[in-house]
Amino acid sequence: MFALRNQVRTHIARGFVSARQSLSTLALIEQSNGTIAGSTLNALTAAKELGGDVTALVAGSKAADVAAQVAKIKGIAAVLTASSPAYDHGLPENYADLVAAATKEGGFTHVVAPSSAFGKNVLPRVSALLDATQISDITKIESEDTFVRPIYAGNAIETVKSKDPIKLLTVRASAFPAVELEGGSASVSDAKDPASEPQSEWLSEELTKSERPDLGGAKKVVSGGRGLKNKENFDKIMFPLADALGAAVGASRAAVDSGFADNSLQVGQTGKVVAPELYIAVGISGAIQHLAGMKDSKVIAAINKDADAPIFEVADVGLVADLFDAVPELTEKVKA
Amino acid sequence: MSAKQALKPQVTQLYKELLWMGRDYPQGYKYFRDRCHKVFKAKSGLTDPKEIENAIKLGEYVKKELEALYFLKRYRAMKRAYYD
Repeated sequence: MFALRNQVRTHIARGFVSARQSLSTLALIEQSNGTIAGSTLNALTAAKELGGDVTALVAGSKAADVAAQVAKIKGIAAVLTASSPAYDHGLPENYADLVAAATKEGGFTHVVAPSSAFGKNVLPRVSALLDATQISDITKIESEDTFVRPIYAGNAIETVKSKDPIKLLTVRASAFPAVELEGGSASVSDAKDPASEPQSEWLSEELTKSERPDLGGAKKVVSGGRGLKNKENFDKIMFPLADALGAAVGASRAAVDSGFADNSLQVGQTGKVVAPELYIAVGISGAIQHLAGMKDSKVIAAINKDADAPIFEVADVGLVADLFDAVPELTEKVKA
Repeated sequence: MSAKQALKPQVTQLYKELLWMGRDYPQGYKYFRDRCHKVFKAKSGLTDPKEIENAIKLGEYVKKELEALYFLKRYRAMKRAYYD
C-alpha cells in the first residue's frame, strides 16, 4: 500500500515538475450527469499506450463524483477536476479554454480525447488556442509522435509524424480496448479554472433513449434497409430480432432517408462506423457505399430475397429468402 | 438541337464507363452487360430533359455502388487472407 502511494506521488512529481522534458498526457474525460462515456475508456487505453504519465481532466457540476471513479482506473497518475456547471454539456467555447489552460499549466506534451461528438467539438478549438495541429481519429500509436489514422473515408491509411511540441489526438474508440475500471489510486486535485465568459448557452437536447446496446460499441448489429418497405415493418421485424440477439439496431442510408428509422441509427461513412463481431444486413441489396461503415465486422450475414443482390458478394454468409418470413423465424429460433 | 440530343454524349459516356467497370463484376461481364443494356434500353424513350438527367444521376449512383462493391469485396478478401 505504502509502496503504491509512493509510486503515485513520484508519478505526480514527474508530471508536474519535469513535464517539459518528459512525456506526459492529459486525457479528457467525457461525462454526462456523473457517468463516464464509453468511448472515453477506449481513449484512456490510447493515452496509456503513449507511455507517459496520464492525467485525467474531469469537468462539470458532478466532476467530483466522476473524478472518484476515474481515480480508480488503473494507470491514471492524477485527476484534475473543475467543478463548474459551465462545463456540464461540454460547450466547446468554455471547455476549450479550460483544457488549454490546464495543458499549459501542467506542461503536457499530449492531449487525448475520444473521437466522439464531444472530442470533435472541443479539441479543434484547443488546438487553435495552443497553435498546434490536431491529429484526428487515430487508430494506432506507433511512437510518441507517430500515429496511424484512416483518410479518404477509410480508403487509405496514413502514418503521420507530428513535430508540434504538443500533440492533440482524438482516438477512434473501436480501435482500442477499454481500460479496466479498477486497480488504480490516483490523486485528485483542482484544475486551474479560467472561468471565461460563456459565449454560448446550453438550451436543451433531445435524446432517443434505447435499452439496446449503443450502436458504436455493440458486439452484434442488425441493420435494416429499404427492403423492409415501411417504418411499421422496420419496428415490427428488426427490433424483436435485435432484442433476441442482444444486438444494436442499425439502418442503411436508404432506410433512414425514407423515414423507416431514426438517423441516429444510420451506419455508413456519413453515419456511425461500426466493427461488431456479427453484422446482419436485412433487406439491404445494394447501398454498399453506405455499408463501407461496417467493413471491419468479423462476420457479415445478409438476408435478401434477390439471389443476385450485390450485398451477397461482400457477405460471409447469405440467406436468400423473403425477409418477412425468414426474420421472424430466425427471431423465434434465437429465442428458443 | 433538342435536349435529348444535347444529353446524348453524357449518356453514351455513362454507358461506356459502366461497361468498363462491369468487366470485373462478380457474376461475369456478360451478366452485367446484359442487365446494363436492358436498363438503358428501358429508359431510351425518355424525352423530358429532367427525367433524362435523373436517370443519369441514378447511373452515377450505380457507378459509386460498383466502386464500393469492388472495394469492399477486395477489402474483405484481404482481411480474411491476412488478418483473421
